[in-house]
This record gives sequence, C-alpha cells and structure tokens, in this order.
Amino acid sequence: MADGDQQLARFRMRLGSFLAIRYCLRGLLIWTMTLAAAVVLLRVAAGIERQWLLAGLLGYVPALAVGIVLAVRRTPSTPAMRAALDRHAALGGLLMTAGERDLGAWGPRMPGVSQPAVRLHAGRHGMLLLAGIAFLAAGFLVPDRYLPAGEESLEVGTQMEQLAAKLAVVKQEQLIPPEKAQVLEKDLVRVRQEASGKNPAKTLEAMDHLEASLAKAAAEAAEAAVRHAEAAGKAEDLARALDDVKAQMAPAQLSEAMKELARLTEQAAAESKSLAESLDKELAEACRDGRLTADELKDLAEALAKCKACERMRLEKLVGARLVDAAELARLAEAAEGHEAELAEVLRGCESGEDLEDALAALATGESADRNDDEADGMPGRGGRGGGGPPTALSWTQGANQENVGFKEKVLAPAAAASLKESRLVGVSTGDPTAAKPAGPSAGGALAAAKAGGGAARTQLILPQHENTIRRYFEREKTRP
Amino acid sequence: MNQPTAPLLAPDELAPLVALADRILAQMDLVLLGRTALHRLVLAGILSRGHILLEGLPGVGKTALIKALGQILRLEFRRVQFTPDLMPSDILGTHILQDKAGGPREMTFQAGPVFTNILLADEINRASPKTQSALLEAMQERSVTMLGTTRMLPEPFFVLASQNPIELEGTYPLPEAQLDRFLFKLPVGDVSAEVLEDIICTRRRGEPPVPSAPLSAEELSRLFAGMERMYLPRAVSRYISRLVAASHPRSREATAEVNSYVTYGASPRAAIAMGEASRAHALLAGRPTVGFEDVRAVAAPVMNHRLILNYKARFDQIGELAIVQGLLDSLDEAGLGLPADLEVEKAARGP
Repeated sequence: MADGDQQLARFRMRLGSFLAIRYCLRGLLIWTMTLAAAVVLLRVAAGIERQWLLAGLLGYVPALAVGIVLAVRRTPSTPAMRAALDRHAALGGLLMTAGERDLGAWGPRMPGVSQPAVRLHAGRHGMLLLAGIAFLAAGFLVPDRYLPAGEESLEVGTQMEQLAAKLAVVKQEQLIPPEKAQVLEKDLVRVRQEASGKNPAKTLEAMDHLEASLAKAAAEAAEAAVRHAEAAGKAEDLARALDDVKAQMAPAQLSEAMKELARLTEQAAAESKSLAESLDKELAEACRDGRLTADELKDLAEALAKCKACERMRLEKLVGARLVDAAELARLAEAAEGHEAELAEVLRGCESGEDLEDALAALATGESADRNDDEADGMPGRGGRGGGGPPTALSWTQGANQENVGFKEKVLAPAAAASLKESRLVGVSTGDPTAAKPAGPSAGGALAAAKAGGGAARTQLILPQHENTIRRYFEREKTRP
Repeated sequence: MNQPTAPLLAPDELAPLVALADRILAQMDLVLLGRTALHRLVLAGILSRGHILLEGLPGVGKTALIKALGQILRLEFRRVQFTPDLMPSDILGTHILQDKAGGPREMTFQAGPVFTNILLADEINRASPKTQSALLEAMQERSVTMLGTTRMLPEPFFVLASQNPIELEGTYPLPEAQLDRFLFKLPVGDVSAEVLEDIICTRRRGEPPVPSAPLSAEELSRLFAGMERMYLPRAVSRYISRLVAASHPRSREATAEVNSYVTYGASPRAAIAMGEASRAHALLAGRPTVGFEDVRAVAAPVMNHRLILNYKARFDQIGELAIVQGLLDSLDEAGLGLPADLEVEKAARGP
C-alpha cells in the first residue's frame, strides 16, 4: 500500500505541476497581451515615457500567483486521482477501495501502480504567449519619433516661457494689481495644462488673451513713463535754465519763474512716485516757497534727471521683455529731450512780465519758445512720427494726429465699362486684340438657296439609291388604270 | 443495498465462488454454442437477482438457454407462451370451487405458472397489456396478491422473457414501467458459420446435451452470499450515477447525441441495477471490488431498454446502444474534472 500512496502523491504532484503550468501560461498570456496593448496605447495616446511603463512588468508576479492558486484549487480530489490511477493500472477497484477500507489479504497481492502519462496541449497558448512577448517588446522598443503625435503634443513651451517672463516683469514693475497678477499666473498655469493638440485654437486664443492683457498694461505703463519723463524734463529744463539766468533776471520775473518751476515740479512729483520719494523734503519746501538757491536748483535738476532716467530704465525693461515696442524709447527720449539752453535764452530775452508769461505758457503747453516764429502757417511740423506725411502741428504732449494724412474719398464718374456688366465672358485670347471688321451688307440667309417657284427654302438632296423609288412614287398615278 | 460491512472476500474465499461461476458458464457454453458473452451477462443477471429480457429472432436459442440455466441451477423452470388471449389468471393462478371431504365446498387457490423459480415468458409482447401488467407485482415485489391475499413467490424468482423484434403486427410493446423492471435487455444475435457447423455436427436434431454438473442449492446460496460481500467503491458508484444522470437530455454531462435524440433518460432503478450487475460482473472476473471496466461491461444491457428516444433518432437511425456507447466514450470515469487540453492516459500501454 505504501507504493500506492507514493504513486498517488507523485501523481498529485505531477498533475498539480501541469495545472500550474497551464494556468500560469494563461495568466502570463493574458497579462502580456494586456500590458502590450496598454504600453502601445499609453505611449501613443498619452505620450507616457517607457521607463514608467516598465513598472507593468511587476504585474507578472500576481499573474503567476493567480495561476498557482487556480492550479491548487482545480487539482482533482484524492479519490478522483486514486480512481485515475486504478483505471490506468486496471486494478479493478482495489486501489479505490484501499482509500476507503482495509484490503485485507488483497493488499500484498495488489499489482504495482504505474504513473499515467499526462499531456498538456498548450502549443496554441505557447505560440500566443511568444507573439504577446514580441508585441510587448515592440511596444517598448519602438522609438518615440515613430509614434504619432498625441493630444499633448501642442508645443507651446517657448511661448509660455515668454509669457511667464513678461508676466514676471509686469508683476515686478507693479503695472497691475497683485490680485490681477495672481489671476493671470493661474490662467497661465491652466493654459499650459490644458494645451492640447486636439484644440490648438483654444490654447492659442487663451495665450493671445493673456498677452493682450499684459501688453495693455505695459502700453499704459509706457505711456505713463513718457508722460512722467516729459513732465520731469520740463521741470528740469526750467530748473537748469533758471540756474543759468537767475542772476540776470528781474526779481519779479524770477519769482514768477520760480512759481512756474514749483508748479511743474509738483506736477511731475504727483505723476511720478519715484520722484516724490527721492525729492528731499527741504528741497521740495524751498521749491514750493520759490526760494531756491543755485545749489538747490542744481539738486532739483539732478533729482528730476534721475526721475527721467528711472522712467527710461523702466521703459527699457518693458522693451527688453518685448512688452512694448522699442520705438517707445525714442518717444521717451524725444519727450524728455532737454531744451534748457533755448529756454535760458528765452528767459534771458524776456524784458517784460508779459514776455515771461508767454514763454512760460509755451513751456507749459510744450511748445518751444524759439519756435514761435515758425507758427506763421500754424503747422510748423514736417511730418508726423517717423517722418513723411503732411505738415502737422507740433506739440509737447500730443502725438501727430491723422489729420491731412488720409486720402479724401471721391466718388468717381460712372465708367463706360458699366455697360459691360451684362456681358458674358466667352474666352480669353492670348493674342493681341483685333478690331472687329465692319459688318457687310445683309445676306439672303436661309433663303439663299431657294429657287423661284421652288416652294421650299431648302433643296432636298436625293441620294442615288433612292432616286428610283421616288420616281416610282410620283409615277404611280400614271400606272394606275 | 447497503455497502457490505464484512471484510472483503479474501482470495481463498473468492476462488471457489469464481470456480462455481466458471462451472456454470462452462455448462452453459456446452449447451449453447458460441454464446460466451451472452452467458456471462445472463449469469451476471441471475447473480444480481434481476429479470432478463432476451430479444432475438426465432430459433436463435433463447428458450434453450433459459431451459439450460434452470437445469444447471437446479431451479424449477416453467414456460408460458404469451398469446393475445392469455389472461392474467393463466399466469398468476385462480380460485376454484372445490369439494371438500365431509364439508362444504370452498374456494381453493390454484397457483399459476408464476409460482416457480424461473419463469420463461416466451414472446411476452404478444400478450395483452392487461396480462403483461399481471407480471408487474410479481417482478418487483416477488409476490402475487389475489382476492386480498398476498402470496410470496419462491426464492429465487427470475423472469426470463423473450420477444421477437420482427412480426410486430398484433403485438403489444411492453410499457416503460414493465421494461424498467428488467435488469438486462440482451440481444440474442446470429452465430457464425463455424458455430452452426459445430451445432449440426454435434447435435442430433439440434437437441442440446443435458448439463452434466448442475449446482446444488448450497452452492447457489454461496454464490448469492458472495455477491453480498462484493464491494462497490465510492468513485465507481459516482461514475454510475454520472452515467445515468448524463442519459437525461440537458443534464450537465449529457452528450450532444443525448440532447438530440433522447426524450427520457434512464431511471434511478437503472443506476441500482447497474451497481448490482457490476458487482456480479466483478465476481465473475474474480475480483472482490468493482472497477470501472465492470460498469462499462454492463452499462449497455442495463440502459438500452430504459432510454426513450425521439422520432429524430428513428429518422437518423440512431439506436440506444449507440447513445450508451457515446456516453461511455465521453465520460471520464475517474471524474478528474480536468480542462480539455490536459489529458491523462487512461490505460497503461502493453509491454
């Protein structure tokens, strides 16, 4: 009986092994196919890097575990295996009975038990597994460049970085409120995340919107910088001019000029926060009282010059970030251009209080005092910004307008070609146009071939083979009795 | 029947029983030439205490076989020729008014031919259903009840019936209930020319020799006692159950042929009969336990008359034996329940 039990244990082991191979093979096959499909799908559709997908290989462990568990659960019961061995050895139920009761004298007489052959027909699954492995390997090994562009392939990284840089400049220069800067930053992140090759228009439109917001803020800042520089420049011009001609001016005129300087300085300080902060309190007070000494006038001029330089630096930063056009720098330079020598000359030449008032008024309005002579025609400028164009008024603050620049609309007289409106194009000749010959006299037309008394407008051609038939037709009356 | 609790038949206990069985078979082979397999099944049926239906053409030796069996077993043997006008009382017996000496006349039971050990019901399908059904109680209960009095039949009691598969005009096919009571339905076919030659040469007027070594009553009892100790392992009984269950259409292990051609499968009585017949077959094979090969040997005779086929089977000329063979081929005896692509060798290869 010991032999029977040993053979039974051996048979159980063999059968369990075959079952384990079978279920593990299926588990491997299913996981290989699933993983291969997932690898291809994720690489193609989601653009996931292959090193992340290598983690899927860990799935083979549970696949094998499931196979082994299934094999253990599907292993036949001991009585069934005993019955199989009994049948194989043709023991006539002795081995089966041995598992249920004592065989008595039959135990020693029982023939030897042999192991039945076990065959697993796994060729098809094996081939499929090999194919799955090849599929998986191909899924991993195909280079990225051969994969079709996916949804995330919209390349907007560079533009996004530029936008981020612009936003950083705008934020740093405090061109927009911090809350709005935060909103724009969030928008930028969201647009970057939602950038999709499926709908590029949406992404590009959002980027355009962001850029427009930044550009608008920058344009306003540039305009303010020009305005500040211009205000500071006027005050600086007057301060430097007064410093030059202070000794030569009458006290009343000097006082008037000092008042104008105080007004211009206050105006510039009101517009430029940097100037307000950098201006010394005593100096500002002295300026307001109109009792500036020569040194103080120099200090004031320096402070105003610094304010101009500060505005220029700010504008340069915006230009550097491509938020505004570089032409704005030229505009700022033009607005802040110094005219102190000319102004000093004008002040020096003011003999009466009225002259001074005119000069100061011209300075306030932005007109150069020495150009008053050129105002004969009222349009002393030659072209607008960038040159060219018709004469235009010069202004310290206003840019060139579009007046006299556009063409005047004029309704043209009805053309003779209007009659051709109903004509029809029949072709285009490649040769030179030729004049049509004048029409000749009228012709007979359809009646040209008609004979007098013929009764018909057209001569009927009778074919030779029909002649006899026709003749017989017309002669039938003659032959009729 | 409960599994025997006594120890297995020891080899020295089994050997005399096998010798007895061989002696019976030898005597039967001597009487009826060329029917070895049939004789084994008939003896297995007798040892299983079952009734046997023999089906064959006239003159193939059905009656001779049964008669010889009665002589060998030394059992009382009676033959009833079933005809359409045969009445139940002609088989079971009747009450007659009889004069009694010195007293009034009284009804006395006159036993019919059924009160015997071996009843040969010749051409059983020629009798009317009423007469056929008179045998139902006798076959199942082994008793006869008349006028409220039940009389037990002698022990052992076997019905060995024969029927002719041709000349069906004027016959009454046995009802399913009665067919189910037969343990075996055995076809008695033709014999080969060599056997016929032997019969002609050795038998004057075809008269079979008288059995020379009949069994004693004690020997027959020992055989039946041995049958009681035959062991049917659990796996084999499970195989028998699956086999019978699979004969029903739309059952879990039913074959495509069963689903197509069978209207009703075999009854639980078939499973019981198969278990008993397998035991007898194992005894004849000289083994104390029943193996799968014993079940396979008796499955067809047990099941073939218990399957009710539909008209489609008749049109396609599919018989019960083909259905049973299909079941035997498709069912895994051991019941390993392995997947289809995992195969275990059934029988060891020869040297």
